[in-house]
Amino acid sequence: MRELNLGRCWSQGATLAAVVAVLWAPAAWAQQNGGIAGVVRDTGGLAMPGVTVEAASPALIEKVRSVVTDGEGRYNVIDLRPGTYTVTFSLPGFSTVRREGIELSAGFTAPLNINLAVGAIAETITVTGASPVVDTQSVRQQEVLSQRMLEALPSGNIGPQTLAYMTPGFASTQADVGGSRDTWSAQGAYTFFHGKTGTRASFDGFRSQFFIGAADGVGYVSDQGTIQELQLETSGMGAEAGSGSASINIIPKAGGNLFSGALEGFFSGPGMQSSNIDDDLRAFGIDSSAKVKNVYRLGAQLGGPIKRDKIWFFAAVARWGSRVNQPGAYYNKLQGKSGIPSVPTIAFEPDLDRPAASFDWFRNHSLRTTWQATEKHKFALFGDIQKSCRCTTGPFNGANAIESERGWDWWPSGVVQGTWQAPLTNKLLVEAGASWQVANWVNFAQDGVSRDDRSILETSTQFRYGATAVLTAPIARTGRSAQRITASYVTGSHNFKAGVTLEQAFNDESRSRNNETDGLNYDFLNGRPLRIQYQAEPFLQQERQNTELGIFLQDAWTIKRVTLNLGVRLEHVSMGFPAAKLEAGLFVPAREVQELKGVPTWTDINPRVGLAFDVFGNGRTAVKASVGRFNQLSRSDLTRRFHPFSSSVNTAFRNWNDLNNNFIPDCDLANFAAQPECGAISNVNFGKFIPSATLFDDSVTKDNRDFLWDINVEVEHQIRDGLSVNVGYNHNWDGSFTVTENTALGPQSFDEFCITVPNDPRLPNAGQQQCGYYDVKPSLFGQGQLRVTNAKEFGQQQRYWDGFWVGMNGRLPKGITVGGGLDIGRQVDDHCITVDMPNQPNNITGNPLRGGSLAPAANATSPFCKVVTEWENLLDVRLRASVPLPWNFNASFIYRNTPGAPVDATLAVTSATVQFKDPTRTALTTAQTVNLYAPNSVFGDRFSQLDVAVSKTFNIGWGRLRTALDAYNALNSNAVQSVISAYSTRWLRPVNFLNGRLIRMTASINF
Amino acid sequence: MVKLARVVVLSAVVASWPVSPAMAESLLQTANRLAHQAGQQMLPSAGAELRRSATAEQSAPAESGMSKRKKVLIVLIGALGVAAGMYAIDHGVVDNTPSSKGTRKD
Repeated sequence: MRELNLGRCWSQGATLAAVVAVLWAPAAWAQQNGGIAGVVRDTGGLAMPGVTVEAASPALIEKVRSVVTDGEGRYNVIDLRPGTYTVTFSLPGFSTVRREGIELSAGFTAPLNINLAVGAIAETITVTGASPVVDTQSVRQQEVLSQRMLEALPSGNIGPQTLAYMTPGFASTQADVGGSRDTWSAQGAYTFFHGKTGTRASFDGFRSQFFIGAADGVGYVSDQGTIQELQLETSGMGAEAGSGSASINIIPKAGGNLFSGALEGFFSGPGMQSSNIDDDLRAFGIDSSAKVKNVYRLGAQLGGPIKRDKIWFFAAVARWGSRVNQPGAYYNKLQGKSGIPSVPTIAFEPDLDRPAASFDWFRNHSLRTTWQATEKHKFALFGDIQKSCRCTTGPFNGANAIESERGWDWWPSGVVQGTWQAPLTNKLLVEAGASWQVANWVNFAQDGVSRDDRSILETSTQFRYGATAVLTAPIARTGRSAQRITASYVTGSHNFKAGVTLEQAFNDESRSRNNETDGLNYDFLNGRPLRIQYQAEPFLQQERQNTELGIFLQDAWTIKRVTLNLGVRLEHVSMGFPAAKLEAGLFVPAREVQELKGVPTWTDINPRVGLAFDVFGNGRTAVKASVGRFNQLSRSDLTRRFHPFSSSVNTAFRNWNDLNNNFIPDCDLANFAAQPECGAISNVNFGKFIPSATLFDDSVTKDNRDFLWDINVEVEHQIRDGLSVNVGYNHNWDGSFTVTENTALGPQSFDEFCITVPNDPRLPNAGQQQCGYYDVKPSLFGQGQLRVTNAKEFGQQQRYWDGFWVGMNGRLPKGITVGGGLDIGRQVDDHCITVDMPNQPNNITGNPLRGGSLAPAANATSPFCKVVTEWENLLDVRLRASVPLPWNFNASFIYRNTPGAPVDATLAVTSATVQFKDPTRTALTTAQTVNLYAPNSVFGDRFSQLDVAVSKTFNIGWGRLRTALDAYNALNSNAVQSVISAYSTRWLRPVNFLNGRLIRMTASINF
Repeated sequence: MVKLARVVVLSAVVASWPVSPAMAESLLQTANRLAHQAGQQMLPSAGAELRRSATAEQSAPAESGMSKRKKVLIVLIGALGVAAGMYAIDHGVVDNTPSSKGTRKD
């Protein structure tokens, strides 16, 4: 009796889940759609041409898609949106075979071979069985999270990062405990899969990222209430994939033929979090963990038919946000209390009565309509407008004073998208779409900061206070638009696709200092003035991506049990900037630029080939191999660097010897020559408008776009119904690096110096002299012209990755789902080439590469130019599962065990603490900060996090009520994510460690 | 904080209150009906059957037994409830953005 009841519970649960899954049919672009393919034979094993194959699902507004088998009995139904399908095979003279319950997720082609027996067509044989889980045709390495899993798993705030968070191989970034991390930075946490930069993030196939320098953060913050599925492609992507080394795509909901809706939300408050402070943290003076004041969300969605079978709509609104007091973070008791009008704040003392919090909130409002205009033409239109506040950026974690934070005023922002799909015949499918996205993110200062305040960096601890270092204001807007058109021609053996994609983007970004009088920031050393930091104001930076054109051809060609994936993609990108004028400022003349196009102009041909072998012909075991060339995500950093406003010298510093201890630089600040209190300016070109101050070689503006080669070998096997495991190897490497040289300098322009490593047993070579550091000769300080060029001019720079993984994915009986695996790799970043300074090239922005110095000048160095991250430091385990329980309960978890935080050590050195090898030289040109040992060679304890959720669903007649109790960081770990690397009394002090266990209540009403 | 918690909970209650049992067919009923229909007679045309199956759930709103006017009213009241909830949250958080203060200069 009990078993019967339990079985009914599971059955009802599964039925409910299946129905709910199809009520909100997702919108989806073909690239992210699935398919069903296979061979139809008669009972004697002979191929059957002319069989009609029809795939039906409530997920399709057109209800049914049909094709006919070719001469070899093969068929291929493409462009099927995620959902549950019933496939029917019919031919006069044979019994009709009906296969039910084929579950398609994004990008998955289900293999389905069928035998037809002689009989009457009216006689239907219904075949049931587990849905296929091994894609034997595609070589794409991908992960998908269905709506069911998104709902069941303890996912915090759901966004494009959610799948990266669960996928082994993605570099660990700051973790999120139940949505307590600020949404914008959390949604952008998807870089560095297997060491590859430039993950593309998209919403419904349209790229949704910022167009700001090299940044790849999200430009459109998505509302989780609109998300149907998440799709992640990490390698083996076809020629239709645009620039980027990996791809995350949000597949949105799109309404359906039945009115349905949801009201959902979650909440965490102060009494719902545990402290995870232990003696190790207390030893660093940390006596409190992050304290959640609130993490909340309220969302509502409604979808249904405006006209049945003709027009669907899906509307969503949401409010969410968080306020989290950060460990050891307090407002400055001395803010504005120096008594010096020109420097209202000169010191920091925590006001223990005023804890400081990270803080954000979001407001989204979206509407999608889908119109089946005719039998063959379908249109969709989507819009979302949002106003939000990322009120403390950074994200704020207490590493700097709250007064040095800035807020983002995210308004107006949003996206508009439209698509057209037309299966013109059962072999020809044409699709097109367009998207427009904009984000305004104007910066504002924190409360309590006056416009006389300056940003002060205490260099001994790298602690910043007083005010933000820079405000992106009054103008901060970026956006992108995209168009695409593709045509697919599909036969049983071929899935041929050709298409054109176009993208344009813009960025307008002014930069100003908080102090409105002269815009100067200060550096202090042990509380005393050290340097004056200049910035050219007013400043406005603009970039335009006039064209990113992609033309691709690809074919999936099935020959017996082998499917060849052949493709080639032409990438052409052209950028520039518009005409602009800037008024004269205190330290700079008026400036003007004319419109320029064609910097850079890059054209690349990217071949991508792969092979998938259905080993036994039963769709259960596949061997796959692929190799492909991919361009780095298109971004504006080169154009940004090239822009005359930017390529002129906009920032500089001068040493400051505050002889009378009044904290006021008693100098003529506009006179850049050395004065008693003020040293000479660090760059003689500061304060001049010199469009040619930085030269750009054709090797970077006309050629050598960043690219990546990616090689993948994989075996995937279905070990039981619904469950597959895969084992693979990946090798990838970057090509084309850009460096900046100073035309007046060479290796002979520098003097080597040594330091004495502090006598601390935690440091390698403690107490010993360590050499290999360089400083420019004083006579050449501030001299020369910069030139941006390709690194191969000077030698071979390399970055490559080798790694293996074991993964699993599946749907087990009784609704149990599992996923995750183990990933291990080794990365080498070798930039031991000499451009100017021995073994220390500077990157495109003129800053030293990792392993170099953190000093504010480009003339800093370190002997550690080969950064090797070893196997044991790139071992990554992530698991997830969801298990339905009796009485409509469900339990789920996500577990991550990833490498610990890299522990670096840098030391601020002055003339008094260095020894030059040239005995005649005794002084540095300026204070430097140097590495004490190689980066990525020392790691902290491994990071682990377990999130669990228990939910119960109540059937309430007219709908279902789902309640859940999530416990994030259930083990109450205080795993450290980053530490202070500056060697001082605060060295190794955790900057970020996992927030304490957080309980979150979630509730949703679906009807 | 407590205020915001109250706002979220209250908003959820207010917004969900107007939803009527007659608004839509029970999901369970829908599932059972789909299963029932799928097990019905053999159809002469597989395509026709598939179409019927795929559209079976379409009839739910029409069969709910509620007048169109009442449905519209309920949707409007529900939307008002959601809007009230959102409004309450908007006024429960600190909004120091220049665009709200009217101090933006772009």
